[in-house]
Amino acid sequence: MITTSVDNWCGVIEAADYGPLSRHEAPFARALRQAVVDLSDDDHVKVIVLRTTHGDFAGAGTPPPVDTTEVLTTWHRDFAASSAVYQAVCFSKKVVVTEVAGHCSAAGSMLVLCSDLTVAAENATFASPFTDLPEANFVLAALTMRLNRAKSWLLRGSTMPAAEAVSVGLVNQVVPADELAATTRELARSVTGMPLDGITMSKMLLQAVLDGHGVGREFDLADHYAIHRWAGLNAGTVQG
Amino acid sequence: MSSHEHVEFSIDRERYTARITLRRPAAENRVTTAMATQICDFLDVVEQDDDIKVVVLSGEGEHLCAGWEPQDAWRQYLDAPGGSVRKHPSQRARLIAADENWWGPRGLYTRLLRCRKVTVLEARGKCFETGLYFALCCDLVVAGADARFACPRWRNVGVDGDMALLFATVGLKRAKELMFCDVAWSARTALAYGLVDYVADDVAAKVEELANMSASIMRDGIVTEKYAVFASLDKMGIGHSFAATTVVGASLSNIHFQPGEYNFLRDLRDNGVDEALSTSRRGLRDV
Amino acid sequence: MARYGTPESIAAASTQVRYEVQRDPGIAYITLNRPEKHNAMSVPMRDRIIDLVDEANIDPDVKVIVFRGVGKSFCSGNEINEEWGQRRPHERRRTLTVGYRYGADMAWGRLGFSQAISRSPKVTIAQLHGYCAAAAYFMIACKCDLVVASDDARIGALEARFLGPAGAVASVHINRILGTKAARRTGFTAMTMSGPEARELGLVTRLAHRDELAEATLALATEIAATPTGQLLYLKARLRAAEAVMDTSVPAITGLLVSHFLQSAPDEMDFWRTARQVGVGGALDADKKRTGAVDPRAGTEGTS
Repeated sequence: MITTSVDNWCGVIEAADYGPLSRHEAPFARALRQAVVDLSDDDHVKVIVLRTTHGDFAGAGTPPPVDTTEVLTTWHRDFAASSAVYQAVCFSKKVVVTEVAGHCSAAGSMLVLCSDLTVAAENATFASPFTDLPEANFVLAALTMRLNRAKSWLLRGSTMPAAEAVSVGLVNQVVPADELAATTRELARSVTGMPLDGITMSKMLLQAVLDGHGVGREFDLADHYAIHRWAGLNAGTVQG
Repeated sequence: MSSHEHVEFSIDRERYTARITLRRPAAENRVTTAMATQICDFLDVVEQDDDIKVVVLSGEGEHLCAGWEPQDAWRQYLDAPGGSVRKHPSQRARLIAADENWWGPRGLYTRLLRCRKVTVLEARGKCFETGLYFALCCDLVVAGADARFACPRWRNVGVDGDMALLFATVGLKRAKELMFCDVAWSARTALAYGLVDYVADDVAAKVEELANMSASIMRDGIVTEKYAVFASLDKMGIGHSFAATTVVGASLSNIHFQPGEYNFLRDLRDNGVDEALSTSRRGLRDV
Repeated sequence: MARYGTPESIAAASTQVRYEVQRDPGIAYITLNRPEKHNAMSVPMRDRIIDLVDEANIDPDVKVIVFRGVGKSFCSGNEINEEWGQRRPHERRRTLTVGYRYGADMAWGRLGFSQAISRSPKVTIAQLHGYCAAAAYFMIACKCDLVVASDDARIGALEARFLGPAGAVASVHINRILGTKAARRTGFTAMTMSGPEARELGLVTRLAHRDELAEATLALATEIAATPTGQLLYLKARLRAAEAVMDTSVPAITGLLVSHFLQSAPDEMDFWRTARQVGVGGALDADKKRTGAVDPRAGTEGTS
């Protein structure tokens, strides 16, 4: 399902695609979370790359509704908790790079928002993570691309092409698909020039500053958003 | 040469404008702690003089400021209270130095960010480290086409500067590019990212135009607006970030290097400022 | 709360702010209709905006609220030359309590019109053309969820030139919308942003030529209104919670009371004294003759 490797200070996580997160497949979320936590704790790793081996970074999918008891217990553990996958990426003590080819469904865009740096292929597209995923973090989006652009993404439920993503600051670099791996390698290499102690301390400061801006508080609201989202669905007033 | 000669101050009362000029061109205007103190003293004058509405900050020569003077990196800790009690400076000395000279209420960056008058920056050539923070803290920034913005010392020791102001100005992902990827932003890139207001061929003329616009606004309006900005800065977490930077920056001075990692202070000790700076900035990539 | 204004200005407000609902696809239009004054908003006009937003909020057919203006401009801001009951015979100068009523109750405070816009459960769109100045800039355009602007729009704190910046231009939400540099630029130079520049900075969602502006707004509003009602209410509820977390809903200093008491120095133009001598129009003309000050008609396309 998920494989990891480490070479020359760079840890690589590979999956066929990250689409299972968009469908709230819990075993996949737990496996990915574990891979991120393990590489973050590896003293021979400075940078972690999230990569896919097939066409899309995160294939399409919509999660089924979850009832309130489950939201507050198992769903919380797998998708909303401070130890769950998204916060594991966002608050990793190493620099996380997402390498995006093809389409990002909701969860793919959330991984992009949580990662430090993103390299995208020209064919990359970024769906709004907010339409379907209650755990999507709006504060991260607003801090990344400015408030009104994030609002527009959320309210329109739009999908951003790569060129727009780079112009609003969601993505650092856009390159032809056949240069994607080499570009990521070069980016990762530039990061590994920083001492290990420097990287972990920088990420510690980053965590404090993100929390000061409300990123952690927005993550903490995920359960409430989920209950609202699926209460509406159960009452038949919301369509996926 | 005393620090006094490295920072010049003048007032143009007709234009309601003061000017603070870095004059250490032989060292590409690298800023020492003594120069930082001198700038703060001039800001005292600016804040007390009711005729001054605008203060322009610039550097003599090709470069605004090529960074923080590395010779000071260790010396500032030794000079702080509790800094020379034992062989290595105490942790309190490191915290006090970071706070007093740079991030705290009396430090250069807070003083510039919270100046009661409008601050305008002429950014040319290298705007590194302290030069980058000048751009983040000033109200208005005009860049020459040759301006480059970077913080290469983060490469050596990790990010020991403020992040909140950088995030609020350029956004998260772009900030992280500057933090982790060994890049310098060109004037055009800095303009696209929102770090500078204008890129101009005639930087001085554009600065004068903006300074005149600001000076045409009534004093009561300027100072009132500045206090509204200060209130917003606190709500946006800038003060918290400066405090966190002081703590993390002091911690980072205890950095331990892995085998094969570049040790800037050792290079400085063995080979001198110019060579160490050149080696440590060799990989800096323009984007 | 009491409603302020003169009998005439209160009576005029119902035609100066028009309200129409297109039940299909579910768009409410709040239209400023005082073109002879660039749609400057009187106190009764602002009160009417509050009432109309309330009405749209609870109308089950309304999904999107559009703010727009008739004539040359979207809106030049609050009316600055108005009797609304602020002068009371026994008080020689304006009191702080009256200042609070004007600055907070009628603008930024929990009862004010800008809060009615920023806390609406419906999606709000501002349609900007011509001048969008002062309160129209920071209390409508920057408070709506989405902004559609024409190429020729002039957006900013133009009043900063002659009245001093009103303080609100430095507020947190504007810093988060424009970035810190452009936010301070609008306040400390009084420069305006053109539509294209405001789009580059991130304030404006969509840009259109003046004669295609209404159509572009309609297309965006129709697109949003196609979302099921429950989902749209959910997304807006999420947004409001996140804005509470980011602290972008309310200004840093409510009402900026002190802006009512700014004094010009002897070497600065005294706008109100000039206005007493030659009228507000004459004072605005005198202001335009000052050297050094920004030209409010100039765009800032020349950012390079």
